[in-house]
Amino acid sequence: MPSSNTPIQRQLMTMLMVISGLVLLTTSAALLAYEFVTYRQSAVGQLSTLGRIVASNSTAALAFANPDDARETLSALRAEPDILGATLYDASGQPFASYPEGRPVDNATPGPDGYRFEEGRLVGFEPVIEGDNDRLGTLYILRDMGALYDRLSLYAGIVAIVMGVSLLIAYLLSGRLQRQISQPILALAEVATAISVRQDFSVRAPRRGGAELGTLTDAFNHMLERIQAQREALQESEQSLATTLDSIADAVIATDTEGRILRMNPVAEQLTGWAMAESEGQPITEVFRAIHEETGEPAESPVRHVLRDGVVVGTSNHTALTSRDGQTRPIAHSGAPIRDAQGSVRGVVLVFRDQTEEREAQRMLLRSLQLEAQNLHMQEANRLKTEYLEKAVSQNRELEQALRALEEAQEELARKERLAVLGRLSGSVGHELRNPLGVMTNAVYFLTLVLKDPPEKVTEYLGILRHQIMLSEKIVGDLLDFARIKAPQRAVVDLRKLIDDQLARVTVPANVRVETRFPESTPKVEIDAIQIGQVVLNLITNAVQAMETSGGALTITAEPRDGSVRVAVEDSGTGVAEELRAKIFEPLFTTKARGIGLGLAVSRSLAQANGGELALGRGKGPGARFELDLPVTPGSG
Amino acid sequence: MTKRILVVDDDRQMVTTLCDILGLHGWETSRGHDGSAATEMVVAQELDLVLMDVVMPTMNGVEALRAIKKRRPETRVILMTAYAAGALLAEAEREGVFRILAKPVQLPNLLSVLDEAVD
Repeated sequence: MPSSNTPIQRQLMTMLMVISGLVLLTTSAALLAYEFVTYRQSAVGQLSTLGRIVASNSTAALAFANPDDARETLSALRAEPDILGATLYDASGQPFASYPEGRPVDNATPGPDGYRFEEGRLVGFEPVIEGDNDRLGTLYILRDMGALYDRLSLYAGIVAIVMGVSLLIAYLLSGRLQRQISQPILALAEVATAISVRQDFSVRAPRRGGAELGTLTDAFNHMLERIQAQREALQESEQSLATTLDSIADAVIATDTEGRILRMNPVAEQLTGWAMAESEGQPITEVFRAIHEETGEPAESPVRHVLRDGVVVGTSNHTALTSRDGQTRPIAHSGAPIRDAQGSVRGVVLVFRDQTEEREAQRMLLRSLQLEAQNLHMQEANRLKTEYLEKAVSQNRELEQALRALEEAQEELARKERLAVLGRLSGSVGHELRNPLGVMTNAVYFLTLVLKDPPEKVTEYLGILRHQIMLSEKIVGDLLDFARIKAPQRAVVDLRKLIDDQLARVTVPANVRVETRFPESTPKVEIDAIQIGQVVLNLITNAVQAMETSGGALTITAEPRDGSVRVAVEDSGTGVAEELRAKIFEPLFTTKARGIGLGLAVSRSLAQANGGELALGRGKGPGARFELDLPVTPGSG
Repeated sequence: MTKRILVVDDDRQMVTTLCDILGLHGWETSRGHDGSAATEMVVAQELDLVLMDVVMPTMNGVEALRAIKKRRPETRVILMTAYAAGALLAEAEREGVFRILAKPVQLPNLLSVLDEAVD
């Protein structure tokens, strides 16, 4: 077995070895004892038989007092190599003959009859009897037991070898067998070590071994689960407590019954100037240094007070706390005993808060009360003055408002007057120009019809005339539109179709991309289709003109709003300069080289006449964006 | 058969150009420059059609229409106007005007309306 065996493995093996050793030893000892006893018994039996034979053969020698015969008889003992010696005593107890011859006599007189072991040898005294009861003497016979001990030591040698071999086998077997028990226990021990070292309660012992060890492993794992669950619950509770403490606006310090700090929250850290890590285990008096505010003398530690009396203590006045950096601030504090379920005090919780602001507020309040008192009569005087002034100011304001309203009304009136004059002028000029233009149209038409194969120039000039007449008619049209905005003939109109129709009337250059976005169901609007169509057309025409040279994108969208729908026409041209934004709807305002600047003015008027509004919006790009809001017909999608 | 038409407008050149154009399209034309003269001409001549401006001095087109319809009810009268004066036009409708055309008159449109009137 490797020397890295764990104690339990060594113990198990030792136990197995000791047990098997003891068993072997006991068995061997029993065997040896048995052998010893039986051998001695047999030796006694053999010697007594021999003794009886020799005694019987010696009767004649003794009876006739013939020592030679006696020696002769004794010499027969030569056949027995174990017989060390023998002595024949006569009836008076005197040695009569000995074997071997000349051997000194062991005993001067014979001992009691019988066979016994003396000093590792077998000694026997056999009575020599003739007839029934005629004692002639005693035979002493001594047998060496060395053979027995030789035999026993041979046995012992065999036993030792057998035991050695058996123990070796037992050692090898136990090395294997002990693992069945030790491995699961060792696995448990490993898990236990891992837990104690790493505090990791999530590890589990593998299930090995038989029923009892399996049950033990299961029980151990189950216990681990419970510990883990309890630990998690504890951590959660701890976390929750920590969060609660950290969230409290007051400073909190908890101590044990010795007044040593167990924990404190961030506010306490801030007020005492001690970090939690440093203060843990420190005496509370070291960290929470309370003094009398006025005298500056140390105040009794509230923790000590609580521990002594077991009561809740608290003050809100006259106590100040000196922090670690020497700063002193007034505080209010209270201390309470922490009691366990049995009601015995386990520690103290100390709660305190910085009173600086409250003190300041109290001082301010006091000061302001004084000031208020001083000012009361002054205020009364002021009040009268202020009242008077306010009245004057208010009257002045009303006057200003009235003036402003008047100015605005005048401006509005003037604007309307201007518009009215402009309208009449436009109407009259428009009508007067329309007839001549008609005649000119007729003349050109006539010439075109009657001229057979005219020179190229004539055809070109007729074309120029036709084009210029058309431009003039457009201007006349604008003038007349402006002059008379008729009451709209309103009908429910599909806005999408209206816009599509107007788009179809405009020739869009190839470099302008048109994009329209409409909601899935275009809201129905109740408007004069011709008037609003004209507005839309005007907006589209303006947008296209703004991108005539540069190209770009014309985007027309209709999006439903609260109670209205907004049609936005946006181009990607250069847009409207900031300073012109306010003017572009004014009549006669134009940025075009040609045109009299009535298009947008007319469009806005038409939009308003239809209950809507036309405004200049702000697009995503720099281009112009016009927003035409039209009221939605109630009940339409 | 030649179609006969009387063209009436206080603008003489308008009348001239219109008559020339209608002449080119096979009409036999007469010219008038005010409402009362036009009425006389309708009575005096046998005319299929009268094309008349509404706004004219002395007698306007609608009054002339009424006079013509009183004397020669079968005469078809077409009025031209640059104004959309509702009341006057409504009266013309009541007096049996054949058609009212908006000025500026588009010539192809005019020609088709005239053809329709003599069918």
